[in-house]
Amino acid sequence: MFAIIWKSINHRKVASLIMLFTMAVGVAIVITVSLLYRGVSVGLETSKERLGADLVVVPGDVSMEPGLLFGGAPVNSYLSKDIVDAIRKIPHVQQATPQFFTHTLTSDCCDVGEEIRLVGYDPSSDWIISPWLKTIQKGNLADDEIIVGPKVPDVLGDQLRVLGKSFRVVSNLEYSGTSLDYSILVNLDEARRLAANSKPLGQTWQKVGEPKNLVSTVLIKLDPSADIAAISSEIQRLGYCKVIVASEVKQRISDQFTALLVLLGGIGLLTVIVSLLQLFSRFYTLTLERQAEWGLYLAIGATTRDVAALVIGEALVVILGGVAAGGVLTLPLYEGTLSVLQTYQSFPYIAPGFGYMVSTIFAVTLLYLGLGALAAWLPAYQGSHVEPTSVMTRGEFD
Amino acid sequence: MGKAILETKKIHKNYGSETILEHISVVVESGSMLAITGPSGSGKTTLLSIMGLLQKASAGEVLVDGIAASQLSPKGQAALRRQYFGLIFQRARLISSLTAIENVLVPAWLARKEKAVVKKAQALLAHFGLANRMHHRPQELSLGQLRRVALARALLLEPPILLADEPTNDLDPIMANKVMDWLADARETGAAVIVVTHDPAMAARADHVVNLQQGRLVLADNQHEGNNNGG
Repeated sequence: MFAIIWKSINHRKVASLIMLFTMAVGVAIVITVSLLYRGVSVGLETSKERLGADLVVVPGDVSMEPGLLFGGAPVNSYLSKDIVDAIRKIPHVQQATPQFFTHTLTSDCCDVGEEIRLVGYDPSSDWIISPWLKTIQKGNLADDEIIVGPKVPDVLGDQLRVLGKSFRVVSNLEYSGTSLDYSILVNLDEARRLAANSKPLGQTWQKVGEPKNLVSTVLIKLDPSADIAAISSEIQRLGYCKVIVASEVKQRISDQFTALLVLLGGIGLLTVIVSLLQLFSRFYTLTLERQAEWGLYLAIGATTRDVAALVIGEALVVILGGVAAGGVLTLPLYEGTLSVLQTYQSFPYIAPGFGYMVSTIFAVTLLYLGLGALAAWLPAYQGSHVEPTSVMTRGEFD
Repeated sequence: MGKAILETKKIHKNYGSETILEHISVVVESGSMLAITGPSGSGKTTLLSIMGLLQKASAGEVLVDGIAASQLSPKGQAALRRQYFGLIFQRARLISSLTAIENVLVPAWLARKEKAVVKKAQALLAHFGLANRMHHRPQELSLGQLRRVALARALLLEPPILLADEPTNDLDPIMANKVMDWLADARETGAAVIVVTHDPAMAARADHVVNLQQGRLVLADNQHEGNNNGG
């Protein structure tokens, strides 16, 4: 039976290949959209948990809000540290903790060779990193200790050189899809000392002042009843700063991605429908064209079930081929789309795990097989109910 | 005398108000050849297709080896066709996506017996002079070669009944003669051969001849005009 199916597909090679390609494109789009949606959703959710701040205050000249929150871009822009105390005095501000960012620059042969963000956090006021350190049985970081993000390169054993100094890596952060993945965490004072001693950064400090008097950002946690807009305005009155409402940024990104993914999903859905219609049309046309052939099978002893199995089997083989080709096509499409999206927009992204990928491919395969069998059902029904005598009365076989 | 392997009892066939066959009763024995003759439109092919269970009679019964076909489900009829009949059509009816040997093997594929009969299929094609055409597709074969492939397909599973619709039509006399020889060989091996033909030479080689005129049997056995018994 399979031989008949295979020979028939092979005989109509061009039509089969076109259909297979259409299906492959549909499958690749559907899987890619599903993976991207998952990656962004999990990324947004994880970043929300990890960031744990309602407001983020940054210098007024920082324009890349999502990048600051979620991207890996190193930023050298600062505020006076006095703003931290001023913010703490505002009613409904529950907690405020400063962070000091700078980026590493290659200064000798053994340094971290890429621009990685160095984040200094304040153990005395921080509510994000310190509690996490406690969960791994670690107190505050000593001056020669660091925590590295999962995307920080060149970590050899537990040692890493940063801005000319050797540090012991005490832990690695879990993958978060945010800028923390590209960050090295040290305590605030050590970050300032490293920055102050860095020769390449000397010109920066001449312009903006001593690092010990600076902060890069202030993370703020508010009372649940706080009026976010009013507090934002009040903070902005403190100086040349910008207040980022974390939830708004996340919502905006979420909305943008939802729109994009709906668009991509729509294209994927259309491709699926087109490929299924093509499948239906092919087999429906074949029903008319191949009545004599199917009549022959019936005449020489095939049952209606055998003929239906031939039609549906042919459809399923093409579909399985399309799904397999789609699986292969998914890889470049997924990588390419993600890369293009990340070029134009910083967003938290956590690549879906192997299990999710496998279950997505499995689900898409089942969906296609089910819909394909449905599309082939009518032609199969009609094909299997032709009169065996049509072998004697119909035209030539194709 | 062989046993009655195929019998039609008062077969009647209409298409709407048009009567195609009227009260046709024929008995065909194993190891015999029956020729069905008559002018075009007399109902020969319709009778052959009813005998082969390819279509239903409006009335009457077809008995295959004593089994009343009308009592069987479509699946049962399919099994009967598979088990008892070899079919040769007016046109060769080969599947163009398959090679000659694959076309011969189609009945075996459907009966799930292909492994057992591959060698036999090759031997049949060789016997019919197609040893070097086994892997050619139908579009690469001549009319005579197509007919021989179709004959090999019909004979592959050694059916007890061989139905042939104008098997020598369009063939040159030499090839027509060979086809007649092969059908006669099948009869010698015990098959009942039923041939629809316009060819007097073919009819002359049959053990029995029935002649149809406007759906009615007017001549049987070249001897008993009006007798509805062809066996």
